Amino acid sequence: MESPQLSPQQQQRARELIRPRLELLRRTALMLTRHEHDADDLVQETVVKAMRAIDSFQQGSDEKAWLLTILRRAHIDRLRAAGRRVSAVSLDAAEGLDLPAEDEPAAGVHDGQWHEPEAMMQQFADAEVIAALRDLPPDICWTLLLVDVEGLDHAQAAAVLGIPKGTVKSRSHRGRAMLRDRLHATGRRLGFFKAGEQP
Amino acid sequence: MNSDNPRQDILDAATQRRLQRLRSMPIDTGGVVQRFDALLEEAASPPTVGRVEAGAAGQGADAAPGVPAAPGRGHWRRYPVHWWRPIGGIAAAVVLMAVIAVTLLAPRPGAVEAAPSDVAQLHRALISGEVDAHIRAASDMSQANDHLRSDWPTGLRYAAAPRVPDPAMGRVLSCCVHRLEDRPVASVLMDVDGRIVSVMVAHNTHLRAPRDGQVVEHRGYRFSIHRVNGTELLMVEHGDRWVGLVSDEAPRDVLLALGVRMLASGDGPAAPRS
Repeated sequence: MESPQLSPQQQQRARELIRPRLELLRRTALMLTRHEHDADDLVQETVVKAMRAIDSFQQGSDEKAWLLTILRRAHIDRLRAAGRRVSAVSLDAAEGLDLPAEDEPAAGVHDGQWHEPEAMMQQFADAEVIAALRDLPPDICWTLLLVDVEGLDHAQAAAVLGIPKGTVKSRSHRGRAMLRDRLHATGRRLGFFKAGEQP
Repeated sequence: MNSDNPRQDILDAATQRRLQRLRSMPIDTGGVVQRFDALLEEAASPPTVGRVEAGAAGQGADAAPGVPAAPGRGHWRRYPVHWWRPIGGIAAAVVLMAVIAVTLLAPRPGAVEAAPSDVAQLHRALISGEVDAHIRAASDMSQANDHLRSDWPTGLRYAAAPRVPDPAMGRVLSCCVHRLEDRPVASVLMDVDGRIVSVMVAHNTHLRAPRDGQVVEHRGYRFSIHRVNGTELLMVEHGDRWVGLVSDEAPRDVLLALGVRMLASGDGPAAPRS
């Protein structure tokens, strides 16, 4: 991807807007991709796109949300380019509808087995949580990344995702339950949950 | 949160706090900062070779909602001549042809007997997670088969991933593609009435059931049965598939019931690669 030509003022803005948020971009990219080099490519693509759109950033807007919007779109483009099926919920015409993904069963089916949720959650390593997160449908994964990992409020996350605030709320709730199901499967393997325990 | 379900709120809060902790994960930004500085330096340098209108590129800038389109239309941007690109293309084509030739000429592996001790060992490695494979969480057989299909090795010698039949009993926990006797095997870890069972499926052109084991005929299917250090194993060849069922906890009759349900499920022999 070619770097854009920037005037000295635009360069200064890029330095102020983008550079301090490279950690945020790389952290998010690392959670979305499996390999570090893919994450770095995604960050670079985001940075180039942000540089090109530097004049479109309105003073006083949320820089974090602006950059994450660009990162999300760059990520969708990459998924599409790689021929991945992008979840039916969020990314196309159905954007804004709060429907469960076609192949997603009811979430939270193992919730009864989280006897001490706080302590049990802390048993999982970061890598295991990230793997479970990455395994979620992209729209759900993005919602949790924005709301729970990055701490965006529902309005900010809604702006990034281009969906209503209420949808962000319900997706966060469903997403957490889906994440618990995936962590439960990992936890079973690691012996955190007893075999034979009923949900 | 604050739903009508306090238990749900506690679970959600714990999940949220665990996710929040990811924010403090140490991130090495050295590489991306370096790339950023290089991009900025490049962005500052004047156009040197040729010029094009950047309209199309500027349109892809993906501005945030509610903000005007990106700059670019009517701006001049650099148009470098990469003289090495054609040479790179030719080299890539030669490498590609070589890879295709090697793949076509490589001998297809013949079927070997799946040694019960190796199968049992693999089952234990799957449970402990100490298997050299990417283990993926799955909530049902359809999702597991999707994962297995995408993780299955590519190349003419492997054919498409064999579909793991759905026994319509028990719960799918995770799945992975691993190797047995250097042949790819699709595995699904299941919870059947609280007992962990590994279901392994391979092409029968790669793996076959041992000829020397005890054979049990059950509901019209012939199962080769084995026991290795307390681990119960059951193998069967059906259609173009080799199927192995392994458990340290489930008794033989449960494995037989599971096997029959899988073989009778009517799943096609092999799923096409997506």
